[in-house]
Amino acid sequence: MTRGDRQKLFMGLLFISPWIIGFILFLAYPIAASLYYSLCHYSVLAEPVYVGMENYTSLLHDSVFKVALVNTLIYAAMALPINMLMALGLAVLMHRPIPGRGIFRTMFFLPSLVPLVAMAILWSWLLNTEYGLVNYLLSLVNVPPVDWLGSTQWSKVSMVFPTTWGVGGMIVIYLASLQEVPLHLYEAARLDGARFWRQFWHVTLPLISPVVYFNLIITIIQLLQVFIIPYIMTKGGPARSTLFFVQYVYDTAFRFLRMGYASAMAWILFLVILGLTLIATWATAKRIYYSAE
Amino acid sequence: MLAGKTLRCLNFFRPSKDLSIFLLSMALVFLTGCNPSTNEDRVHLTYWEKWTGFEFEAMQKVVDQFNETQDDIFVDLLSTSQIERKIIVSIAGGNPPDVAGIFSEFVPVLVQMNALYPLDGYLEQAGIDGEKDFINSYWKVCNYEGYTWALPTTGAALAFHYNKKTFGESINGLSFPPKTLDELDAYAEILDATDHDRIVNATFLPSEPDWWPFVWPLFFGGELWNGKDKITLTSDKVVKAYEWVASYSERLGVERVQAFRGGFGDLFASPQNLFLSGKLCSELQGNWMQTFVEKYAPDLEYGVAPMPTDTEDLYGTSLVECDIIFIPKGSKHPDEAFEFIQYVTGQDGIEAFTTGLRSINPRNVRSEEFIQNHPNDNMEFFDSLAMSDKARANPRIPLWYEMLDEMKAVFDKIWLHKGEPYEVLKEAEERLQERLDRDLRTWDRVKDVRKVEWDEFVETTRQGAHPL
Repeated sequence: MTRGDRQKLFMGLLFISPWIIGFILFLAYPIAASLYYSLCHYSVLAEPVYVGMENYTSLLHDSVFKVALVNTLIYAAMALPINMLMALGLAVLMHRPIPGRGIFRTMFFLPSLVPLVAMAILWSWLLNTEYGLVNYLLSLVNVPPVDWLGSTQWSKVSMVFPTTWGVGGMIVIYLASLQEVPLHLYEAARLDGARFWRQFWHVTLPLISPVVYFNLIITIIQLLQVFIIPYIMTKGGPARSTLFFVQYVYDTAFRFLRMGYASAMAWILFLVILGLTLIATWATAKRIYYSAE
Repeated sequence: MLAGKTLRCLNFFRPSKDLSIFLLSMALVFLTGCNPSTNEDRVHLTYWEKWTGFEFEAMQKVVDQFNETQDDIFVDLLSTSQIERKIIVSIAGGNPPDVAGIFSEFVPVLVQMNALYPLDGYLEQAGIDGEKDFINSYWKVCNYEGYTWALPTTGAALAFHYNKKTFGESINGLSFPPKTLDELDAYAEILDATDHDRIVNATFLPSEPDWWPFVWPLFFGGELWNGKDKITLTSDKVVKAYEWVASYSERLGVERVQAFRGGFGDLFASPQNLFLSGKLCSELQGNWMQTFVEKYAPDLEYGVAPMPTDTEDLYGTSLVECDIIFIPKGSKHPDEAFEFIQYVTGQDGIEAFTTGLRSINPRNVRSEEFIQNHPNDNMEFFDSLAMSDKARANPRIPLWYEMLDEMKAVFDKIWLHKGEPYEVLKEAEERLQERLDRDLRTWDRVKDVRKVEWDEFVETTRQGAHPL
């Protein structure tokens, strides 16, 4: 490396140093510290005491941890297909040359700009048993009122509704990718007699498959980290039916002040997300087509 | 040539000029933004309180009065949410407030975390006999592990509140207000009103409000733990209490009662509150209710009485709570902080504050002026509850948050009939016992070291020496 190269390297590092410093201070160090604390008893005020794998083995016998994990997986299993299909379906519809397309695009994107706290409060009222709009609409078709937030049967389902409001971001990504699909492929398909569904299945979907995969992974991660909506709407109740993983981590860390135990939980969540991401990658590997390949 | 040189010099120096402006701006920010205090020589105390709204204003008045009387100390009051958590973080960060106020149930939690300074030495030095000065039930919660950690600033007690229009007289010869839960149940059988599948009026709901899911065993003479090392959720009286809770949702129907509750959202301070709107004839509430009645339902006529109990000998039992003031560990001015605490919890300070809050004066003695001017119409009654031998505090357990969460889940499961009361309580008991055992093991390892540290602090302050 010449003196000039070294100088360029130094200048480059200098320019990205704010990011490097931020990354080390606010990401790398906390990640490393949480890994160490997950092997300790640590209550913030006293020095951490190393206990090896005790926190991890205790989690195996923690029934509330299991409840939180199962709740989160059930919620994600409900919300994932709904969000994915809804976002893709709406994007395909709004990609077609329909009148007022721009207005529709704006309308579907706007809810994703609503702060989560406001969204949670709004949905609390929409799902109100007595005066909520959802139950009112159901009453028009003679469906008896549903206790969305107060019953253990419906509370998790209630948490899915607000997430469907947040698919605007995903729709925008789909729209961008749909616009990249070459028109001549559709023309060729039409000449071969393919109608809408066959065009979608054999042309559109394969060509936007990398974007579907991206949205799938991002949605899995977001759903498994759900926190604000249930924390505000139900605080984990009734009877822990909406106690999700991240809320249990939060309670354990900042209310029970068991930082070591909470750190172990956070690492378990990381492994769960990593595992599901790998499964999703493996399951979709043969169905994703990159144009460069 | 010279002009060109001068121009180059000017260009060269321009960045320095910008830098000077930047540095000057930063200096101004530091001078004006980071140090808003005046040039007074007084010691500034930072005081964190959980209060907001009119409660904060009441405390601000007391603080202002103190500041006016002082040449040496100036107190800056700051309203802080989730204060019990932020105190811990601030202590860990080495920058806690000098003095702070929280709810009394957090004393054991904070003591076991070594987050407070003991006040025993200060109290002795100041000649304060807390046992004599304060109502016993409030004094007890300020003490833990043989030390005094805080002093009460205001008190509260829970009582049976009833709507005089819908539930205001004796029916079928039952005593009024009801003294036993059997009588309350009998009233409920008569007064609960339904229309098809909807509840129109309910007499009483153990789920309203849902702030004290752990409270019901008190009215059966039960305890959630033995005060030392054993969780007692499966004791007969506790199980009986939650069977009684289940009987209410069973009689009214889980779905109907949930729809009745859910219809009004989770709103306490609102005209839609079940009790304030007249839909619920009675509920367990605290002495603060008058403020909310006046604000949201000024036409509501209500009365107060002790909560009915399982047996008549328990009648008069009440859950008492108090707000306390303490010195967090790491306070930079503990001596001055105690001087302020002494003022706030002294006769004048406490009477000014509890008058502003319409709450119970935690001191044993009340001035004539205080009695005459106190704005709470039922203060004499609430005083009697707090001073009674039957006054009971929240469980003084270092696992308070865990216990609260566990009891909330227990209540929900039983209320929604998701399990038999005994089974649900047994599961919760096992979980809490495991956590308590773990906590006690940790505490046994460190308590001797802690006590040496606390004894030193007490001894230093007892002699009037500066502890830091």
